[in-house]
Amino acid sequence: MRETKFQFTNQLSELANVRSIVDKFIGTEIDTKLKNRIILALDEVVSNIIEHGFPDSKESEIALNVLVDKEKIQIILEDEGIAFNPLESKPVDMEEHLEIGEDGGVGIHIVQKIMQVEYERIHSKNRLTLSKNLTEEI
Amino acid sequence: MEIKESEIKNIWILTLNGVMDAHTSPNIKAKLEAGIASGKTKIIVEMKDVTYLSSAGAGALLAGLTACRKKTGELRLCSFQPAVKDAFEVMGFSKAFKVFADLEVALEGF
Repeated sequence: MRETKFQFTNQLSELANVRSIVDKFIGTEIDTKLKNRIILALDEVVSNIIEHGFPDSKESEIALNVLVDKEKIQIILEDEGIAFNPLESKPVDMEEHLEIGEDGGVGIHIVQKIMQVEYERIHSKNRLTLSKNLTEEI
Repeated sequence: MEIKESEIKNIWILTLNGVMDAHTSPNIKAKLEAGIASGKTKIIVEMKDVTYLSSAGAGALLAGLTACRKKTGELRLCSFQPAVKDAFEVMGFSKAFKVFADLEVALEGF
């Protein structure tokens, strides 16, 4: 199993950098189409944390840990934002969402279409774990 | 994110270049909403140089589509790169839009 760990600040300008680091780390270990979807899921989660976790706009570090082998990828994010379990968000009816045409609110719904999501609140931190069995068809 | 604009036969064409994520997409949303507010109701967004799209980017396009429809206009998308099209479809946004292979086809019958 290969592993990488890094931290970044809670700024949306960091998103491109986070995507690029994880893309390079995964390399060719995962089929490109699936890799792109996993990076999309990661981006959605990180965007959510940055946009909703820090209502006081306080600068903070977010820790990212990626573990990958031939069978599984696991992405663990830890932040010191307000307690927020995205799995408790109201389920999204995509047809209704498209009809209303509002911007936003579908991120976690998309993540759950791509990966398994677990949430824990530990020592005043939010920990989100995204995982994907790589032996399954996409 | 770079936004180039042009006009052909009263159709406003926005050609986007770069990534459409939560950091860059507010600019695109603002550009679309300002154009629609100023009376542009026939719009084509050309996606050929967009290399990445998240729900924030798709949401900006959806907000543009909704604003356009309120003025009985139409917003069309064209020229997706395959990876970006896959993201658009996985996220479930493709059902709301008319998507065309390239600008020429998007202009037909508009």
